[in-house]
Amino acid sequence: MAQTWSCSHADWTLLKKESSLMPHKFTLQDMDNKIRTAQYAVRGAVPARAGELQAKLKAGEKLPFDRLVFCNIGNPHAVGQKPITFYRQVAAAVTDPSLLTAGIYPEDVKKRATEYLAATNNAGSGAYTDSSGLLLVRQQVAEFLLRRDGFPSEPKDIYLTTGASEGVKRAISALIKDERCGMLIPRPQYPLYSAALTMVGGRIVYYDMFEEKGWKTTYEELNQAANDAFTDGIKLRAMTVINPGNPVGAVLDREDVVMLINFATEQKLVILADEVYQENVYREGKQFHSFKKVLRELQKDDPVAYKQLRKNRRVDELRPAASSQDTQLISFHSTSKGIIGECGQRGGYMEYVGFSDQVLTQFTKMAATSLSSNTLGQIFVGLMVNPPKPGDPSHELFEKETSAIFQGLTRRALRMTEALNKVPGISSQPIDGAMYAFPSVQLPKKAIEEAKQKEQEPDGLWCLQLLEKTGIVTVPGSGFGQKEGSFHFRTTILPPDELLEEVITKLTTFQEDFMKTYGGGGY
Amino acid sequence: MWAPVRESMFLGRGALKNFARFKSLTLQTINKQVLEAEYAVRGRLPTRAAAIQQEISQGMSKYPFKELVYCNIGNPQQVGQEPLTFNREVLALLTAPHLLSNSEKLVEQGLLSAEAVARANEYLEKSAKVGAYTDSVGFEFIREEVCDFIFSRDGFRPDAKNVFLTNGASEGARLVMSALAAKHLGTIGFMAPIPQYPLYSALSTLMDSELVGYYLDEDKNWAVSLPALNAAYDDAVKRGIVVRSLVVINPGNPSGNNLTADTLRDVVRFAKEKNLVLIADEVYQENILTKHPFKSMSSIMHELNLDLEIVSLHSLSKGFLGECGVRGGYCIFENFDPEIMQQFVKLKSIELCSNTVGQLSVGLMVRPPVADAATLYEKEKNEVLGSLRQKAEILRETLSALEGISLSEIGGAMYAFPQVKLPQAAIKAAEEQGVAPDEFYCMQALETTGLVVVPGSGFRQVEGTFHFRTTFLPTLEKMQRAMKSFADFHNDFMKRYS
Repeated sequence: MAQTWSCSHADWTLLKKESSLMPHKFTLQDMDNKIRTAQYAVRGAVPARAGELQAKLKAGEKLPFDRLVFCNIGNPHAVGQKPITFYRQVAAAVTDPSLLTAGIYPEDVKKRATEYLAATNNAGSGAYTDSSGLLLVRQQVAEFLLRRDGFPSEPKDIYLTTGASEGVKRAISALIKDERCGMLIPRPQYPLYSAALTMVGGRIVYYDMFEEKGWKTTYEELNQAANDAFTDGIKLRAMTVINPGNPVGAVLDREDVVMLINFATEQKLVILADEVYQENVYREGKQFHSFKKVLRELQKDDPVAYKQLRKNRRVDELRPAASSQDTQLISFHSTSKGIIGECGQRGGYMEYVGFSDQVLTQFTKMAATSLSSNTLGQIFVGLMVNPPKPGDPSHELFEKETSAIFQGLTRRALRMTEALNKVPGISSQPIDGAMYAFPSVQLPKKAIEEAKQKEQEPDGLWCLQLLEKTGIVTVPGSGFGQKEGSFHFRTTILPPDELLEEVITKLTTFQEDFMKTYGGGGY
Repeated sequence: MWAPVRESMFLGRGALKNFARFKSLTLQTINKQVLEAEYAVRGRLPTRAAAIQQEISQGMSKYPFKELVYCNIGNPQQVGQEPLTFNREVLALLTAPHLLSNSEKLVEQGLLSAEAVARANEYLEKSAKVGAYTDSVGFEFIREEVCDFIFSRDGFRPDAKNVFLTNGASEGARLVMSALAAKHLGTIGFMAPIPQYPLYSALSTLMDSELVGYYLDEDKNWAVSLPALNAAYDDAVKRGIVVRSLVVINPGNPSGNNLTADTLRDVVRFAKEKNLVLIADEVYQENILTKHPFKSMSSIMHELNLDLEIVSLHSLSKGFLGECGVRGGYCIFENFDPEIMQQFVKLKSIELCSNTVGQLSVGLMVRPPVADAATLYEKEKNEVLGSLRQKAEILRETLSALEGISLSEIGGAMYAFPQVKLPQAAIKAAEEQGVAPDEFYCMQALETTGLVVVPGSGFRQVEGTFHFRTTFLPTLEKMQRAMKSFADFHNDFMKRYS
């Protein structure tokens, strides 16, 4: 009988001999290694400690601050951002259609709610939908993509997911065939990617983004990473790009996107384009360029392959190995960010570009094992990509609310950058977009040594002390990855203006004290 | 700067083949476990049904029926069941809190109950902002309500720390199984019933583990039996499988039974004896048609005073709520190692949190109204449950009267899983087509009557037997019609292939 265990025969014999050796409880050593090692810093040690302090505050304990400020997670509504009235009205109307006749909703709300109800065959938000999501919503996404990029999309290539995270995990699950497979992910990165890869046993290969270059990467760096992977026997399958960036807040220029697509094309990597912050572009002169749009533009301009595609339809015709016609891309979007900020609804979608119907069938099957994502979340996706238009009854209020939110974010992005750069020992790149600042902190030698003794990351120590002294909750840069010897922290730009000022003031004071306490031994 | 290194450069004769393989992700390169995983509830038959539906909608009706009757999936609100008024009123108010400024008028107009308004306000005071991520494990105040519910149901109160609010029960199962599927220990085995709800087989395949099936006893109303459990366990261990977990679905899906307390005691003792993590899938606990009541596996464990690692799953999707599309549920962990609980929390946090409307719905599920909304709530609840009881009876009546079909008692859940004694000729015809015999039968039923069911092979069954799973969720009138056509179809089929 063929034996396919991964523990040694000696171990197994021992295990077999004494079944009482089978652990009484399911403990860490029994747990899948990959699951055990996966980490997710956004809800890691510092936020966990914040939870404990929150409990203390509630219990009436006296702390050096009277409230926590959660700057660790992109969760706009939790820190005061208001939901968009039109979206909530449609959602409420779908939830309780009896209110449609109550005369409390504007006409366009009623119309949209009725359309969505019809899309569920009037079953409402309580029935499972098709596994890929409501057709009407996928059509609305396709129309949105056509308007945004000028290139058509098909509903069959669009899948609605429980936030973008579900889509990312699904893609990675399918791409990683065995432990030799790996993915290129940026450093610093949003740690969903490293966690998801770890959990499926895939190999993580980082490509660095350079702070001094405004957090951009280079072709050389990507090449180096790919070559190192090859030398290590890793078969690279995909590459993640986050644009606008998280945590770094950089927005790619078109030539960056072109470079990344060309590289992925050469290396035959599937591009996972995390574009959830595409509505959050603040900096003057910066614009969001979707990977889909640029890819389609490259495909149009790729004369050799394009002409050959038109002329020769035979698959076995010899073609150059690297053609943008064959590039595969999965784009992700979500209702959690942007202006809408509806994190709790868990709405999202993914668009598959360049995949065969047979592969899509497999993705549908994977989606089917969770039946469907929550219907209301799907409807929020539809609302997000298809907002009120000028002339619609709700448009004026909608514009007012969304402008206010967008201006607030832009204002705070600027303010944060400026303020952080004034704090001694802290420097921040301009926040082009997204919702975060990722400044670097110069840590004195004494602090680094203390951290080592406590078996902590040095920026973890800094963030924990910031928390204990001021109640400000951030995430240490080590949770996202950073250049060896550098230290960062990620803070959001979401707290309302006055609260943000308070954060800046307290942060400055804290940092000054920190440098005084630890400054003695130099940097 | 030098040209990128490519794998294709290093393949000899393979290089030409590689040039022909243009795309990166194809059926050849996709994770094999994805290819192998199956989920019949949304498999070939429902897909064919969807195609037929398309044709009917486009007016190309070449079928002897005008509409399909969907009995393939436990999706009550898709087939006519209404949600509960109180629940939807509260959720609408929480979704659009500005409506509360109008609430008095709406209550006067009878569009809202005062209790719905009160509950919405109560939850809002507890910071129920539906637009924000919550704690990964879910709103604390809802988890406390779950604990209160368990206390009133079972007589003991779990720790709210060990309650997770999930996007439906499937998420809880997935969480635990992914942690248990430790490849470094060998091939991990998950014991699950045959027939089973194919989520468990799909998850096992995706996690590269083995589903260790234990046969349910069809002659005894699909009871779980100790001999079957032991046989499955021993066989797996002999083959070198590391059996780590036991899944018990009660009430059963697709088996449609409600296990007795005695059986549950056997099950719990067995799990304890073999040191298995018990996954108690109890999503149908409100769908009881037997005289004996539902007993949770957790309560049995407490009764026997056993320190067993158990995860209990519940969901909004079934019962009398039928809120499948809302995606809400919970799992309760008992007796797990504290470090493992930390790991579960970590795993939960990677997907941030489950959807907030679903979380709040769980609160509404476990804490029904008691004031002015209670009367209507009770009425609606009884209507749904009464209707289900009636339809189960129609199913039972029709199917048991048919020659060649045998049906166990429908004791709970939403399904019947009748056995069809297919004639040899039919089996042969199926094999010639390369299709499982019960799928062959069900496909013909679909094309003849419009009834959409799921072949038993999708749930696994004793080799050589054939079943199909049907729900009894569509409206009474539709069920009556569908059952009549089905009876005609069946008799005709048996005659044709005799």
